[in-house]
Amino acid sequence: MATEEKNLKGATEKLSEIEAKIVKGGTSEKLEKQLKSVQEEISTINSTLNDLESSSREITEMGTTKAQKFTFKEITGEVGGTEVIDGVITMSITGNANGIHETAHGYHRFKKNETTASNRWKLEILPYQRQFSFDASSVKNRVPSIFGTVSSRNQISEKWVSGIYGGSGTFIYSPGVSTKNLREFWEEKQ
Amino acid sequence: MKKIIFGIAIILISAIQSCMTTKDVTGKYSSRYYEHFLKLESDSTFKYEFRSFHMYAQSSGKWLRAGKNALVLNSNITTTVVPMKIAVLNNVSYNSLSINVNTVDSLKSENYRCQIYLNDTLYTIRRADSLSEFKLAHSPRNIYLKFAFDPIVSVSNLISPPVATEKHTLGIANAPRSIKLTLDLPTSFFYYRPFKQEVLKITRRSVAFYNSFKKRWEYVPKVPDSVNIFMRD
Repeated sequence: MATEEKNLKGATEKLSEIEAKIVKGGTSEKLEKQLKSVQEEISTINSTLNDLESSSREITEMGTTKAQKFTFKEITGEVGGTEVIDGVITMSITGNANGIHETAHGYHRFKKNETTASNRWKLEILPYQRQFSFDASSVKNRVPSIFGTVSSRNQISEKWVSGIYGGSGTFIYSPGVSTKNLREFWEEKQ
Repeated sequence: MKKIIFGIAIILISAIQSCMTTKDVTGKYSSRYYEHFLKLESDSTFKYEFRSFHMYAQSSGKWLRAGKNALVLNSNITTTVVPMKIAVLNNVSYNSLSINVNTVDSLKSENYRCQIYLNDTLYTIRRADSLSEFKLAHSPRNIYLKFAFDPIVSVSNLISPPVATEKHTLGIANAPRSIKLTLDLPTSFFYYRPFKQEVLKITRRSVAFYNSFKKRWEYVPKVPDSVNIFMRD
């Protein structure tokens, strides 16, 4: 979080410099390009900070509420899962990055926003965004999708989630669907 | 020089001993990332979890040694291919397909999505309680179904691998026909990974599963018994 705040400070200073140059000498294509780039950088940092703050706030709420029991279970591997077992929201996690991901599921299950499986693609967007903000490499390098690698948290979309595949070539969040059919589905949507 | 000869002798003795004895393979094995998590018990039973992101399946059954460097798994359920009854009515005015899916009461058919494949091509995806009749432009030569568990009320973000039926070949139709499929969809087939004479390689500190998609062996290291390898105990 401290790193992101430092980055935000640096980007904001850079933005002020560019804006001052524009005020002083007028704008140019180069300055407009720089301005857009810094504005995007600030937006990304703000989203990351927002993700981290939200995760922290939700974990605190889950830890203090008496309305619902939660439990964490540490297991081996790369990805765990979140289930309601005998009324207890149980988050099986494999480490910190996966912990952030499953906590997002756990919180949304607590808030009753995860009661159906039909909108699986949508339900995975926020947890993957939070995970990306916490540890980008755990998503960039470790979550393959036929729709490409994400380089920012904002690229995490329903389409990207739908194309995530496992080591046996099967689509995780589109079980049983072929690559051809999945591509056709998104082509028809566009 | 004496030390070198002594060292070689020790290595040779160890090598001969390892050839003569069968290594104890009981214990826990865990993929570093995905997909295999296995516990071999001393009473020749095993428990297994498949985990790939949120895709999850489990299995249990018997294991046995097949020589020094291999073992074989057989799960309690050895196949999850669903049998189908098919009835074809001729002398009808148009081509049609209807599917009747029977499930146990606690999990009604509305909790499953059915992918219908006609002539090896996806025809449509529907909830399994809305499969009463489809009017078809052409009668299919073959037909099979795949079911995904997609509950109306979800208590988990784990996803079951799809369960498929056997494929029925019907042959070419010269006149319209009505096809009626009936099947029982067992709940126990979902979240389940069947093993039928599945051969695993044994190495010094791991077992290996053959990945037929990647066409290679995937090594799963042995881990201490104290480690928690299973999501569902």
